[in-house]
Amino acid sequence: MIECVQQIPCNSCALACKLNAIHMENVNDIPKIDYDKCTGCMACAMTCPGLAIFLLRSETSRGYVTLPYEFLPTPDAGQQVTALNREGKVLGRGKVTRILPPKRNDGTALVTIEVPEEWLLEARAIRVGE
Amino acid sequence: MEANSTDGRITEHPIFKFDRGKEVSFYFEGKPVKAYANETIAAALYANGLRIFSRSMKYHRPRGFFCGIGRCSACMMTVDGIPNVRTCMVNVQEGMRVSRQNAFPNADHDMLSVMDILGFYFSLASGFYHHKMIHPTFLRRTYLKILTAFIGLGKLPPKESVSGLRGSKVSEEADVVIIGGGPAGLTAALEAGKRCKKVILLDDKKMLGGQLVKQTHRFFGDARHHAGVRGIRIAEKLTKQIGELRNVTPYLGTTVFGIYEDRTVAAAQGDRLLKLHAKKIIIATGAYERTLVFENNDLPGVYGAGGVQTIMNTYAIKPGMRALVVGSGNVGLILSYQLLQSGVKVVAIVEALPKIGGYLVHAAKIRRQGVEILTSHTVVKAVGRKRVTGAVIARIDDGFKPIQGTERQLDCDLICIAVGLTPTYELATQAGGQEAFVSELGGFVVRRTKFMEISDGVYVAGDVSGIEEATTAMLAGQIVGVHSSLKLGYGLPGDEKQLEAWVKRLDEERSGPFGEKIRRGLGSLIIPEEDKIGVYPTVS
Repeated sequence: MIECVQQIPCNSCALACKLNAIHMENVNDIPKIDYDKCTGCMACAMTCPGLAIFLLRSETSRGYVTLPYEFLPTPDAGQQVTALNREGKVLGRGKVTRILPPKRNDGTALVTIEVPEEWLLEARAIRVGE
Repeated sequence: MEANSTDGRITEHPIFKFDRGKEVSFYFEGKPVKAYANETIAAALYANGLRIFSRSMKYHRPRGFFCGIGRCSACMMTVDGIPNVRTCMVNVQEGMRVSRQNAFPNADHDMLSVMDILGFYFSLASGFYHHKMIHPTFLRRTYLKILTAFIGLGKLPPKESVSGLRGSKVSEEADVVIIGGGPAGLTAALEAGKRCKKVILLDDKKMLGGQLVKQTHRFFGDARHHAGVRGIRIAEKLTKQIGELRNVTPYLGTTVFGIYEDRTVAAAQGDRLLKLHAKKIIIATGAYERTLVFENNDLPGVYGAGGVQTIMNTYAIKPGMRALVVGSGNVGLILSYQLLQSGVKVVAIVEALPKIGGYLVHAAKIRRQGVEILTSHTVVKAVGRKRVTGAVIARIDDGFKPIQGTERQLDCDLICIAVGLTPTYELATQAGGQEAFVSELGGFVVRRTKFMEISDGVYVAGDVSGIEEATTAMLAGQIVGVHSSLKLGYGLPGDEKQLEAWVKRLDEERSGPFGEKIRRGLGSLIIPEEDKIGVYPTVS
């Protein structure tokens, strides 16, 4: 899911996608995902300067949100973290199920958290170590 | 030194790796201070808790680390006997002796600050002493003697401090001289370096990259053109590429102070004077930060966004614990995010306009960390006596006037001013450019041709030609780098086509809603090739 709602001159996601699943008319266009082509590889999320790309998945009534994270400390898989909404309000606890370590992506980690399914469209950030 | 001597150095950062160099020790007002070789004097003192760097000339009000890039002169001190050294520009050295000036007994507790109170009671206008303290006439000399003890900057250096200085002069010729090593200057130097025989790149900092070196965020723009790459990495990459070109000579720590007739660039590098004869000049001097008028806006703790980025991201020192950011343009939003990355709490962002100025994706990054962005709000007062201890903010009406009764005080020790930039256009007008005031581009700019030539053989590129983004600055740098080389007869095959392609891409970058202002501003500025003037200041 790309939360990029404004026409700004940037096309890093579209060019990062090897499957041509992100369409843009010109550099100022709002990116549109072709969900038939998208495999969820997260190449776009790794490069997005706006940290605006999230991977959402739901499975056996649990929600899984993969989000970019550029703060310290870095959480480990299995760790409990605080899930925050778009305004930074606390939703509750979430469990880190996977992490792309920051050193693998020049400082931007991609953290997957397991949360209740109804938070899928809410949880957009985490706080670690509380 | 103040009581607070805790080490403010950042040890861990999610993006930056810092190289402080080896430990050294110097003396500040007689006391030894721990520092590292790669730190400037001002940075080392800040890390050790110093906040009052100087006293203002007339009212002796405390002044702090404001700009961090050698512009504001608030950090001037006496170093090894030499007065008025900008301590944010000079690295520490073992055994150096540093002290503050014009205060008694010292700048922390300055008895001369009585002037501030006197000024308040007697409403002493600027230069009051020339009008009021002249009677009776026989006392004039005495008045003068006392007054000179109160005002002025520094004392004349003793003989032994200046005996080691040996001024020297160097004269050189070059195909292209580039002034400024930020994003525009670097790409211009690269393109010119690939084509011309000799290119000189001048910058007053100790490293190339300009503001890029302080940017932790990935850049927007065209992915074929550094988008998705962090500012700091772009600076590293370009600097490395410049290093590989043997015909490009970077002169660092070098300040250009004039452009004279026949494209003669005059610059100073320490005690060395450079006279450079250039066939083409590219001015890429960037921009100054604007400031904001509010009560106590000179209190230590009120800093420009660039100064905060310098102390935090160049020297890895925590600028404070709790920050108020003024301005929600991209600079304010990015700065807020960088503050959070360094472990500084952002208490709020205030924005005078009714909507957020910068990109919403940048705003969303800090919103989800719980930072409030208060639109139609401004800062009305900095609270504190010797350093910021809080800020009073208020809601403002349509006329940008604070609404009574909406004031509230926030607890913070840092107020970061990010209210926009204005082009550093002075050298451009000196070199024959016709100036024009264009508010959409940030203030005074110069008229230019499609290929950014402002007068015969002189170009502008980057923020100096109008405030935009680093992405467009880098494109503009490439354009002027190639165009100037072509004009000298050093073109590569396909250059004309390449130029047109880049100009087209620049137009495309500016084609969105965020480029609207830029397009409007540029409208009246572009002059036809034949209209550019070749006038240089002539010596009479």
